[in-house]
Amino acid sequence: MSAPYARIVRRETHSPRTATTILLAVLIILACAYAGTELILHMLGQPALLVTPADAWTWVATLPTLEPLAAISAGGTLVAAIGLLLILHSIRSGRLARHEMVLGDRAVIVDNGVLASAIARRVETVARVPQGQAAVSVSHRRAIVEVTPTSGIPVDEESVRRAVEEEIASYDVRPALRHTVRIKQIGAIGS
Amino acid sequence: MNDTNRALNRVFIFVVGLILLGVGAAVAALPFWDWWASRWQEFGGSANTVLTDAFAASTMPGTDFSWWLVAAVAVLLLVVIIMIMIIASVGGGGSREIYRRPISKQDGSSDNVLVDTSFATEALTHSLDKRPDLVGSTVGAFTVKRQPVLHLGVTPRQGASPRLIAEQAGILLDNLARVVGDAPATCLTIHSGLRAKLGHDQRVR
Repeated sequence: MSAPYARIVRRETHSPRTATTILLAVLIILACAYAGTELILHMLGQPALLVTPADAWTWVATLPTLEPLAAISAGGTLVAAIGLLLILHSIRSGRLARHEMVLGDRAVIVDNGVLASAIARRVETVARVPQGQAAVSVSHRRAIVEVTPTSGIPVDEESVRRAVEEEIASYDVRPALRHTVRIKQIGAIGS
Repeated sequence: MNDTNRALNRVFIFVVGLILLGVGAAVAALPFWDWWASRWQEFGGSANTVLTDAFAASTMPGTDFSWWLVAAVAVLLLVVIIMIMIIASVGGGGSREIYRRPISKQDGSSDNVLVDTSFATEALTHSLDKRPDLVGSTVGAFTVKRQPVLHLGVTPRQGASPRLIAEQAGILLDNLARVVGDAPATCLTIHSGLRAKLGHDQRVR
């Protein structure tokens, strides 16, 4: 059986951009509904909700002569910046904070947070520090481990390093994780 | 893993972004670029004349407004309909079955054997709910490239080894495959999240 795993993994590790799409579509619908309402009110000879279509047109046509110019320029810049962000949003890969784990013939996707908390648990056990004194952050290619020793009880850096290495090797994630281990110089008291 | 057309999403966002960038830049340049500002006003003025003439020439009989306004409303309506179609196109692609195989009967005709997704859901969640190292699990199925794919999502407690969880979920999936007769393509996702953080810790200290 040939499963479409490449496609599944790709879709599970990248953002679909659905939230932005729906948000934009809803905003456009609202804008169109408003413009349509004003037009229909105008056709029926009713007073406008906010501004008549003719006034709106005149306002746009005479934009360069309106004051303050700085406000017009700032508004335009703001709109352009939003447009630029949207373009970037549509082009960037939208990689999610997840890793692919290689396990037989199944597609396994693990959140970085799960990897981090599992590494932290292992480090706390090896370093013999209470829960919460190992802070681990996992990014796309790197795991950073920071251990706060309990004051007066030294932590064996070498064993922590080996444990992290073993733990990461056992996950066998794609892309592979490199790691950095830091033991803080200042310990925590009374834990 | 649904059927959302991601390329369409990105193209749509790109086009909206491009329009906003163009309009915004055009407005922002007005105070700094006199030539552009005078062009803008000139065009605004001439367009005004054209529009007024057009409106006067196309008044709907029996009313005092123009056909063009009706057309404008129709265009707005069209845009709204397209937007609704875009929103409606998101998602989908769920599969109600995880397994389908034709069997030929003795009289030469053939039938299908189906295994419903809910069967897998019941079986897997029943087994997973008992596990102390998980706070939750979801099961669903999708059609990817015309092939049903079973999706199992689990949320482990803080500190649980993802490897262990994946292996043990793999055993459950193997058992399911044995019952069903064939292994459906499977995707396992292991989530972190608020539930994992808030779920109480089971470690003996």
